[in-house]
Amino acid sequence: MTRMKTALGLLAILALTLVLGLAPVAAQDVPTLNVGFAQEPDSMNGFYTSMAFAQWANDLVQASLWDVSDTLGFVPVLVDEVPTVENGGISEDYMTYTIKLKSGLVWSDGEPLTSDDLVFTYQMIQDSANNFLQAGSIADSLVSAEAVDETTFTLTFNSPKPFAEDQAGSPGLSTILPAHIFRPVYESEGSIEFAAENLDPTVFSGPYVLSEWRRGESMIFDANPNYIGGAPKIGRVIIRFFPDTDAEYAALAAGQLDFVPNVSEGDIPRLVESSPDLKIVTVFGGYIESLWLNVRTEENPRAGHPALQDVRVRQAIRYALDRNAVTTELLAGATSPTDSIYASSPFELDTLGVTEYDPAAAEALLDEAGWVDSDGDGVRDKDGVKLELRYSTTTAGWRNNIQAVLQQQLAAVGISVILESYPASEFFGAWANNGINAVGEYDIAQYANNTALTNPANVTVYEALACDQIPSEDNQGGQNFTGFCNEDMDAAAQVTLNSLDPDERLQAAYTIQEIMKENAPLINLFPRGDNYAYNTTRFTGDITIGSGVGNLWFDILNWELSS
Amino acid sequence: MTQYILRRLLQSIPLLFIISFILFAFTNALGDPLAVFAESRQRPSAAQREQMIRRLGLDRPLMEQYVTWLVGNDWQLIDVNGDGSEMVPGTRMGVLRGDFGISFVTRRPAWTRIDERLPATLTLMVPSYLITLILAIAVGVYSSIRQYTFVDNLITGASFFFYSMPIFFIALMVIYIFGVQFTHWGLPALPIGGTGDGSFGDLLVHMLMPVFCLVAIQLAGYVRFIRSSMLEVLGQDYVRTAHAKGISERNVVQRHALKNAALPLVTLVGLDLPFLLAGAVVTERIFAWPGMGRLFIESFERADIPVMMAILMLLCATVVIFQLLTDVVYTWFDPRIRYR
Repeated sequence: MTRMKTALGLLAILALTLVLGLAPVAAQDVPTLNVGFAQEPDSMNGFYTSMAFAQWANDLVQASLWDVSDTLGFVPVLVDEVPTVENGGISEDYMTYTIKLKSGLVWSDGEPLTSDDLVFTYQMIQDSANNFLQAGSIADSLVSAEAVDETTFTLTFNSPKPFAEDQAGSPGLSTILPAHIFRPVYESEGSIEFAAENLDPTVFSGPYVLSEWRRGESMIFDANPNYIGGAPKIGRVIIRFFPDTDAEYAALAAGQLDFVPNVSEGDIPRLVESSPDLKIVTVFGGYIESLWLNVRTEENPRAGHPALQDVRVRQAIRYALDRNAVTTELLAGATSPTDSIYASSPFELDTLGVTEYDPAAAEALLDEAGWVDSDGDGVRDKDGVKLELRYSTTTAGWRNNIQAVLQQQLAAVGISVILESYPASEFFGAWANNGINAVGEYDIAQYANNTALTNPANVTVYEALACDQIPSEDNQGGQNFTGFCNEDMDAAAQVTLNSLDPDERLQAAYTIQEIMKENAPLINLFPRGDNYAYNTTRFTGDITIGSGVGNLWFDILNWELSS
Repeated sequence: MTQYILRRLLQSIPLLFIISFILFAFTNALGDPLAVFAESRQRPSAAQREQMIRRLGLDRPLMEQYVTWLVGNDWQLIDVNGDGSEMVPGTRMGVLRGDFGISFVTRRPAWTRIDERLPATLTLMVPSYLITLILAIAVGVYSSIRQYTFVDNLITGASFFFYSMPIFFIALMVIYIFGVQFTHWGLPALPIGGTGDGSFGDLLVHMLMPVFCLVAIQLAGYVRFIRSSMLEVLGQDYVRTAHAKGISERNVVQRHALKNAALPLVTLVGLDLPFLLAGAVVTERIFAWPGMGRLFIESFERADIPVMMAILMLLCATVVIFQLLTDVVYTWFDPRIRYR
């Protein structure tokens, strides 16, 4: 009998806690935006992270000198105007910048934010003891940073720097460090690499402050009363980490999340179906998914398939691919095929056109190149070598789906493809780690390049396809994994990087696109968008989301939650 | 007995060394920890990557890296540029001096990452394990003394039903029904993911779905195990003798049968307990639970060798200790067992 009573008692307690727990939480008096992130930021110091999610979290709390808007325009934040030659902010030779901060700037703790903070930040970039992941190109070119007065500082470079946003604006200078916090650490330890502030930040310059970080679970941001732009209408932002995207989308559909960045194209259809309240916004972010062909000739460690040396075979592969089927059927029509490495950017050559799916043309080119099916097994061959290519990519599911579709399309023209997929740490690993791309253990590799959208200097061209970047025993850090080399393209790439004439830079970008289309060292599949999903019932009106190269939240002061 | 325990502890030391080397070799084969940034918008330059690899010592031979992991490198100079132009002193103390290294991901000591995650894992794993055990004993004993009745068959069938389902399927179904559809039907829906706002009541509500899934998936195995070892014991002579002496059914089952049947169960529990620390990889991931299983997978994805090694060594040490404890507990269940 007593046992019965105990059991009943326990049941009653359990029921009571459930009822209490399920009872609606006391109405939140602060308008709160619930955001879902698939990954937890690894650092809150922008110089120590390459993770998009960390950059997004940082952009909520750290203001930049100026942001890049959704239409790729500059939006001054801590400065009154973006420096240009016309306004005197950049010297005639583009080697000295003079930047003036707004007056009266303060950090969230009330300390003044002055040119001293900027100069300190640039000094930290220059000192390799800090072991920064970011801002390496600034470190390579910066000669000195000096404060002129409380709000003015100058930067001197060792060569002309035509693109101010790479040296001082949001994409290049991702963070401004509070000198009054970091300087004592730097002076006592000689480096800020292990400063507590990197992971438990206390001082902020952006629209929000990080109030609480519950590791592995969530980050709570509250409005920064000292923000120069005024108080955001959304008083609180909670970022919750959902490593499983299915659970994340379920929380979005159930109204437990309001905003989710980084939705993969393949997931869009079911996300839209899951709730009528959801809206997807696609912002082009500078990524172009491509098939990179291994045209390396050195035997060490491994050359690509000999057929790939022949430009006709490379062009035939492009003809054989029905890229339209991939974008419409696998990616819900969120994007479309391209042949330009500058696709969707202001520097795209509109007359370039897109190669149509034409298997007959592919077969003709392969025949012409001498690759024919001589033994009738369905796979072309030449001099006893079969046209059998190793096609590798990462373990991302949507990429593996694309692999399977392209495999069938290539088989239809007699090209056999062996599919391989590797974790990113192996696929993109360094030479010393036998990384698949670095040592050339592939014939076709699928991944995306990323380029700046604000200027035509394209890292894919001046680094990942440059003659002097081909990896070898003596050049283990080389970034040109294809082994493609074209002197004319290298020359044009240098023009995009260094020319001071915008028109000359644009013409060079056009030249590059023509050379690449003709030579096909890589076959562009499609520009990849950054897809954001949000619950329309939670917002008043539409929201403006920043471009992939800028600050996602550049317009957050205008975001408003419906009551 | 004390001598026995001491001897076992001493024996475990070389064992842990051997295991640690094997694990170290495996984790180091995962690839390049800096490669995950290859497709990032703001990725480090090739020169920065190389410098970092040298600072982390990842360019050294495996044996040398293992020795550094064990004893540190605070007496050595690191050539960060590879040409002798900049030499910086090493800072690592090594595992033998209690330093598991710095996480490649957060640049904080690997141990702090475990420290952050361990409480959440135990909060999830211990209750679900206890519930599983209690339910399993109750159900297992019941179905053994009512063998082949309708209820026994029903329980057996149901437990196999859950046992054969993948955990991610149960988890996503539960989320879909109690999280999403309940909202659409206007019922009080369960919160999806996380541990709640920090209050105890909210924690319990957030635990409902993950605990249900963990119990559902584990229960069948234990029930079957207990049922079969109970059936074996119930057929023994001493049980018949006990019945013949006129001892009540309850006493026979609880004092004579269950205590003897529990012996193999103790072995099983002793083997399982250390893995409560490891957390539940899939369940924690789907329910966004900030536990150790997720930490391990996240570290795996980023090839964060120091954190993975710290987790694995923690588990190895716990397994060794619990094995010893299990052997000691045996003597209480079965006084015939003596250790020398």
